[in-house]
Amino acid sequence: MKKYEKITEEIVEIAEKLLKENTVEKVIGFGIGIFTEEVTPIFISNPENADRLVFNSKAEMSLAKYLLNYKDQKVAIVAKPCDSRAIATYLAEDLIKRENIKVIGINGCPGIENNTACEECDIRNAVISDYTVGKKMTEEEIEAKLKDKEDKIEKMTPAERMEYFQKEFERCTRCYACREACYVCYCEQCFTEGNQPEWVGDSVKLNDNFTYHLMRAMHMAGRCVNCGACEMACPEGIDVRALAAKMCRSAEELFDYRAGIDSDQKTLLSDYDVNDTESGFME
Amino acid sequence: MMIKKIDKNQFKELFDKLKENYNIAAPVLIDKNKKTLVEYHYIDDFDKIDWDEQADSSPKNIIFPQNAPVGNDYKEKQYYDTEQDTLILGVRSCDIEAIKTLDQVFIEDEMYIDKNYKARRDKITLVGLSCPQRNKSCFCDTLGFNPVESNYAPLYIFKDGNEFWIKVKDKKFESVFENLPDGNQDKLEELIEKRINTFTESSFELDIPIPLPEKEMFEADIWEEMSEKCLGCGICTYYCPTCYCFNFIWEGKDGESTKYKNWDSCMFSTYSAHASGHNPRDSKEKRYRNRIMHKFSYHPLNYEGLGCVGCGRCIDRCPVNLDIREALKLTEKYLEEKGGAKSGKD
Amino acid sequence: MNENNEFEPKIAAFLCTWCSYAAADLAGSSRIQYPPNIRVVRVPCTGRMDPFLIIKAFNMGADGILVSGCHPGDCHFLDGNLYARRRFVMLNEMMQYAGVEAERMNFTWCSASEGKRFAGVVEDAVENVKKVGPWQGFDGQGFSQEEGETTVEKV
Repeated sequence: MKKYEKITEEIVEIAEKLLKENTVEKVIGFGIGIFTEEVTPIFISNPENADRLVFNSKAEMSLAKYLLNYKDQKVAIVAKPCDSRAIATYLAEDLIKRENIKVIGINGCPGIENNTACEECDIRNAVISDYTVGKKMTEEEIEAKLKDKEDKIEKMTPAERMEYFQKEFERCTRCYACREACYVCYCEQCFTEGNQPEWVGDSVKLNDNFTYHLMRAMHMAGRCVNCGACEMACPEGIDVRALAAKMCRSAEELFDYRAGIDSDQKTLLSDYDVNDTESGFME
Repeated sequence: MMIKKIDKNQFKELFDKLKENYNIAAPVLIDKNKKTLVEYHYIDDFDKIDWDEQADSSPKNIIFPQNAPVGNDYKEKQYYDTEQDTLILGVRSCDIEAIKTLDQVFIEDEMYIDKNYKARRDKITLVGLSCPQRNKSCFCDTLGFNPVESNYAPLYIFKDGNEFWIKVKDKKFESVFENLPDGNQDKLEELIEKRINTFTESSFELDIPIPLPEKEMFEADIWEEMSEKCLGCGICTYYCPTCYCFNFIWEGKDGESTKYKNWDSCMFSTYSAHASGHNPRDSKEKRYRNRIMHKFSYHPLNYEGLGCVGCGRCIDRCPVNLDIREALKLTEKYLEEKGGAKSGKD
Repeated sequence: MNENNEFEPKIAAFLCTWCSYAAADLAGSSRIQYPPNIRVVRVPCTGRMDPFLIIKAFNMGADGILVSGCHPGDCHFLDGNLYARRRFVMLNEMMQYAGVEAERMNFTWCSASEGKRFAGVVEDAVENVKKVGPWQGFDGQGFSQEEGETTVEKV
């Protein structure tokens, strides 16, 4: 694919320049491992190594989370459109300083292999960026790429839906990769780790697995940018994204709210409108 | 020792015969919605066995389940069925060596014998499978293990196309295989040699002292670089065939509780957290250091052999492709620069 | 189950102390009858209601939940219930998507003077939950199972 190669070239060029000029101390990007052909996050501080940076269809990780490790350093980050939304959310939640980061935003993201979230993506251009690579996609192009897929879960009856999720969460080993891969999950202490109160049991039992996923999804409400990192990280192939993606859709339908569009917006649940909907309330 | 050679149909008959006396587990291809993975499962049907792929998860789950009730203080109760023997078919050398490691810790260490583990382990017989070629990211030969044959399993299968060689190493099982056609030992040796050669061609060189020098490595400054991209999830430990860390928790309601022995992962921040709030391993490089040092320094110091068998599962399944081989290479380089490595035993 | 062998649901009712809890009190002192199926948890404000409390209630075996607070605009803390409203809408969306019947989740507002309305709300909630029957847990196995280990399945 030519698109990926061109983006790679541009990323390398910008990263090299930034490091040479000492604008940033570090560039966070995607690279190739020494032993494998797999894509892995790399951290580059020497301009000579900038050519290790790549971007291809396997760059599935969300790099935004690494920004939290370098809060007081000047860093540059390669950001897919979804990552740029994540960075916008971090800025909105006041977790990182805008002046400390340089975003190398990818415009016209060609998508990631096997990531079903990419088929639903209607952003495809970096939301915030200091430098852009790739070609900006027009709305018509985005529209054309958008696969009009009906959500199969939405069509099921409650009992069928329950059964679907039971089958999924039954396999969960509670390795918490979905949590760690997710940019939203930056809590110092996760609700699964506390025992005063003990929100969810430690054992891998369906009732508790289900509870864990529901609770995590509840924290996603109005913050998830539907990047699919959780699903890509899951070693058991669980449809982890389904619940969070539903929250994204509901937030848009009911409150006309989308996470990570603007770096000044309030998060969905830390705000209210007097005329909010009461859908689902008793008569 | 007995060497038998049978074809697929004969093996199928043998399988059906064995089924009567044993629960049989083997690697099976499972469709998991977003992924298809090879896993160990109990099976009834010979045709379901996946011989060609290295299993994506280890047979550890069968011997050492993720959640196991071990009773409570007031009742002694056995929660698992030890009536019938279990055969685990198609366990590759790496996993056999891994189970050896678990045995060292839970049974052979005289300080403490885990009676739950022992009861289960006593009923399990491993049937090895010779690796025909390198799978994905494995590197057991680099660590000094033999991917083609392992002595820890009483039965060992060499699959060559549709033919199966069975090496019966334990006299106990000879009666089961007696009536099968004999195999030619020289031919088998040839096959073994050929396979070993395919491995040596693609192995990577590693020159580190085992055990790693404890103090020197503990204070090394390479850990941050190694673990920079680590997310801190538990995948590498949960899918590692040798990781055996566990945690006791009590679960229950209505005034009655049961003690559970659950897997734990040293990559979790709560793993070493003290009740006081202090956490001696409060950052991910410290946790990663502990994982590598446990496998290559603390385990070899306390037991024989390594704590890592080089199956490569942690590499394949890591969501950010953190590579333990790169970590080992970095260690090698670091020790070299420090001027000649001394093993931790000296 | 009652003596006629009919299903009597257990409903966890989270009531705001300033309005709905007082409404329940008023219903009681006005001798208004309502079903005894609710187990009341008094919360300082519906704004304090962590959605986790509701998920946890289902995790522990409540057949349904009822959350009631001050009417929007009447909150003792000015806007606690307005924050809560968004949370409940989102929680409701998610729980229904996950297959928990809508009838099990009852959200409403009751002011301190609405004793009669409160009794009606409880009646409705009980009727709703009765419609969908007992809650079997997220695992669909009920709540009387024996402890067990994670086992490797037979395929």
